[in-house]
Amino acid sequence: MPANANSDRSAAGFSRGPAGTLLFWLGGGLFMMFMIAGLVQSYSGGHWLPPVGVEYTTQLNALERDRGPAATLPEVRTAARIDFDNEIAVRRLLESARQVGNQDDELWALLALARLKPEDSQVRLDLAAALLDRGRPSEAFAQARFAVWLAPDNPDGFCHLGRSLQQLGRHQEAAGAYRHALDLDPSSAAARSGLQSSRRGN
Amino acid sequence: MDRSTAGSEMVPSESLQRRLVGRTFVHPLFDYLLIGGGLSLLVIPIAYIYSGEHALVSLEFLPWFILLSNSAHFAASTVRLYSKPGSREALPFLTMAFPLLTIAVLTVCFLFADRTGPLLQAVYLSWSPFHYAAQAYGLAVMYSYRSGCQLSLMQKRMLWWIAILPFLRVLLQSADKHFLWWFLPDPTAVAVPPWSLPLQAGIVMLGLLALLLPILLYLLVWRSKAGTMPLISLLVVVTNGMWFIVFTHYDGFVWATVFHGLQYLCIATIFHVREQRARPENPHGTLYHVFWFYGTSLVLGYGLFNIWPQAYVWLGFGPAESVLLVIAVVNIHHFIVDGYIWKMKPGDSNRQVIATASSSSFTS
Repeated sequence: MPANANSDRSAAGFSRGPAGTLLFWLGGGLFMMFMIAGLVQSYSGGHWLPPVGVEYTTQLNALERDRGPAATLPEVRTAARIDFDNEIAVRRLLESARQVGNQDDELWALLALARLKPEDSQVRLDLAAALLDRGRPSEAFAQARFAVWLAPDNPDGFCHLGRSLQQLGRHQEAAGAYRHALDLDPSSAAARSGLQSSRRGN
Repeated sequence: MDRSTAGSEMVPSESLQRRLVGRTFVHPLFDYLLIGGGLSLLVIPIAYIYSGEHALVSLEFLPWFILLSNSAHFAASTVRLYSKPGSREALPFLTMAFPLLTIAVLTVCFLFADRTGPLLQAVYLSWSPFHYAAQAYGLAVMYSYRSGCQLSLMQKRMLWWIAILPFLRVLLQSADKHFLWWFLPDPTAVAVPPWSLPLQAGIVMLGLLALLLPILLYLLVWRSKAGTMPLISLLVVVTNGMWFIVFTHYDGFVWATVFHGLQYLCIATIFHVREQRARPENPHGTLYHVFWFYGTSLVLGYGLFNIWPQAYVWLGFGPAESVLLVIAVVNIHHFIVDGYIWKMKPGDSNRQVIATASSSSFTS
């Protein structure tokens, strides 16, 4: 019940006359037409209580069953972009993008997830990997550094840090990162091969 | 009624207990539990004790709950706009042209859903906690006025700033979900140092202030010439704060939506019943007006939230944008309409309902 309300005097004169009445009936008529169309759509699909809010995902699921993930990807993308604060919608886009192999959508979803779940080190790692795959090592380095900061005991974080440092040409630091990963997990094949290639300066 | 003398006329010499309870609309229990938000302080802990983290997740029950409470509450502002005596003359633009404008804006937004959708979503998500806070402030002032507590301009300003503290906290706490996000260079950076430390300190500080300052203001008003502020004014501000401060962002939003909707439906129904019963030609009793108002709000809520999005699906738009854009626009429409229909201008029926009606006249 906000108390700070402005007057609508400016449009009052216009809305008070026959033009106002016309606008009202136009609006009312249009709304009724929308209601009829909506009722037809709902009841033809057997939905007495059509979905509200996040329940739109049930309709997306049905679409995906009918048309397959590739054809539904645009719908899933729009859902995630509008419902940007909904982790379920964004994870759904990530999953669909990976299924279809759409790297742009995968990267977008990971960036959105990093914003929604900033404390999730796995999201940071996935984001760093996606950025590395797209040849963006400085951004990948920043994300890998976050991942290491969030989960200092996870050797994968140091491996990603090493990969991004290698792509930036900082081989000595990369070797240090891989060594740290090996300290945490001596059996890590990724850290071992990364250390070898960083020593060679690749 | 002259504002300066209203209090002394309404409350000549009452006991401390009566002054603390204040003048309620229906019954102290009803007003304190449903309008003051007291029920939330009882229901929420019970829900968590019995259901734990799943207190808010019941997919079978949720659609019906949304329809009966939340959707009906959003529609109630429109029902009240058209049923309030004199609103068509006082608010010609809002009553005549605004519906068509809303439909037009929504339909244009559909054509560019990827770009307009996030914008509409951010606007309505940012506006919601402000709307709740503003409602808490409005109700606190209304009960004070009704109970003869003459808040000074300064006291009202202080109350307003205190009432919107939970909103400011929500903006800081979830900066990435609201319009502050647009001004942050790297949204992910707010979660880690150096941003995270001052932000966390600010969030904790605002939370404490939102719960403590209402009590301090209450005592300040008590000691001033304004008179005793009814406890419901304090309760309504504190409960709004608690919904957003005690719970996580998502849970806070859901609980606030639930109890704000209930609060809104109750107060809107009370005003509607009083206005309708005050009409000289009115042949109906209270129950008729209660059921008419709620029933109409329910049907309109069903149309707005359940049916309208399906019309856009029928037109060929995707289910996600159909549902999300309609929700955002109906929310924004509700916020705007609310900004007008609760005005307290002299001569407005709102002022008459607050100042003149007693508890017994609602139920009689």
